[in-house]
Amino acid sequence: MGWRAALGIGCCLLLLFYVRDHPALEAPRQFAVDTAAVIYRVAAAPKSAFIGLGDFFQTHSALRADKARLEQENLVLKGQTQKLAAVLAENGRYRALLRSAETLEREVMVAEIIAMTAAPSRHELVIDKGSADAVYVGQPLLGADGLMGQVIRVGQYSSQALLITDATHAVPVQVLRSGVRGLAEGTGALNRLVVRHIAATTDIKEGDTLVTSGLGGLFPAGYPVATITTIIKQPGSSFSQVIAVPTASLDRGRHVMLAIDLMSAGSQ
Amino acid sequence: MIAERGSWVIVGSILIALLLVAIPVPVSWREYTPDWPLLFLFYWVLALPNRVGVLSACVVGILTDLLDGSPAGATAIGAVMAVLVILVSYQRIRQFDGLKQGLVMALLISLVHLIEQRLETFLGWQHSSTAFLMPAAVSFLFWVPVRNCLRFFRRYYEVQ
Repeated sequence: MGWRAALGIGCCLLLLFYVRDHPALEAPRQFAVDTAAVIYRVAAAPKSAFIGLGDFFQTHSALRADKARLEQENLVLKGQTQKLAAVLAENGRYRALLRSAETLEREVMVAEIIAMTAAPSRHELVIDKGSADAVYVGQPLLGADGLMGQVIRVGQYSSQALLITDATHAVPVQVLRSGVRGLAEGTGALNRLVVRHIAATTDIKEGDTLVTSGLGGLFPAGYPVATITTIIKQPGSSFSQVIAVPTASLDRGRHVMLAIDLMSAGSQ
Repeated sequence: MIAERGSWVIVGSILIALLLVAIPVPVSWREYTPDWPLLFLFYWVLALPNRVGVLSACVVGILTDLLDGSPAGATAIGAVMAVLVILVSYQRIRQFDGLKQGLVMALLISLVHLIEQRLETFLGWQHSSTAFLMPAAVSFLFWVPVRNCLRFFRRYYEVQ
């Protein structure tokens, strides 16, 4: 019993402190990610079947109402896109005038959320695209309304992503209105980010939108991240406490978008 | 020497425990789900200490880690230590009534989570609260149903 326990603990310590990031174990790590995804998929099967059944038995009138709503939405979005193309072209010319580099062009790939991982202290998603679809570690994850997180583990056919609200995550942001830069850190609560190192005299207001600043080179610039809800200024303190709520709905929806970096896609 | 049989019941129950972990629940409920793999593992150690021991604990711990994205081995170390405690004192624990056994199991599960949390903090993860101990408290409520259910299957399939 004693030697077995020593063996078990020894193996675990080896795994934890030496083998964890060893490059030779890439294949088993990918296999583990994929296996976990299969277990999550099987566990979620009754729920997906239930949702599928609901979709199947949707009434004709409900579907027609849906279609009408989507057509309207599509029209509005198309109109906005036309304007966007003009604005983008204009922006490009201004940038050329200022001799600054043109921003990177990004495309997206849609992935389905399989599950949120089980550990209560962590905010991670399992998604159904992996290295077979050219997903890489560090790839930004976008929702319909803003930045959601980044990929941290990649399997062959699935991967795991860390959300921006996880207590270990931080993203470089700037205030859309004034351009003030900061760092939005996760807190472990799904509706709360903290922006650190904002001096008390900085031009920042409640209701300001935070977008990614593109510093750090990981996240593309200009995606909405959060809206500032509370600013606490304490007399005597040189920094103010800034709390924000993420714009993306992190615990809803079945699909996410993975940003594809067109400039470096070949090298990844 | 009794012939060992019914390994598939043990392995199958652990797989079911892993599936129970992966069942989707609303985010705010996640802390209030019992720690199924550890509960199931502790039952088998208590019932068949000659078959299910520290190496099984190591395997179950690593599987749990891989499933919930913890660094592989963090839960396993705690599970090995907790199972050692059961192996040393299984004759005594068997004499306890369900409530007392549940308390012992909850204590052991909180020990496992405490070790896991310490190791993860050491590796750079951050835990902001003591909420990680909640599954241990919930597991206390689930010990008696889990024990009775697994005992039924153990006797039905004559696992020994």
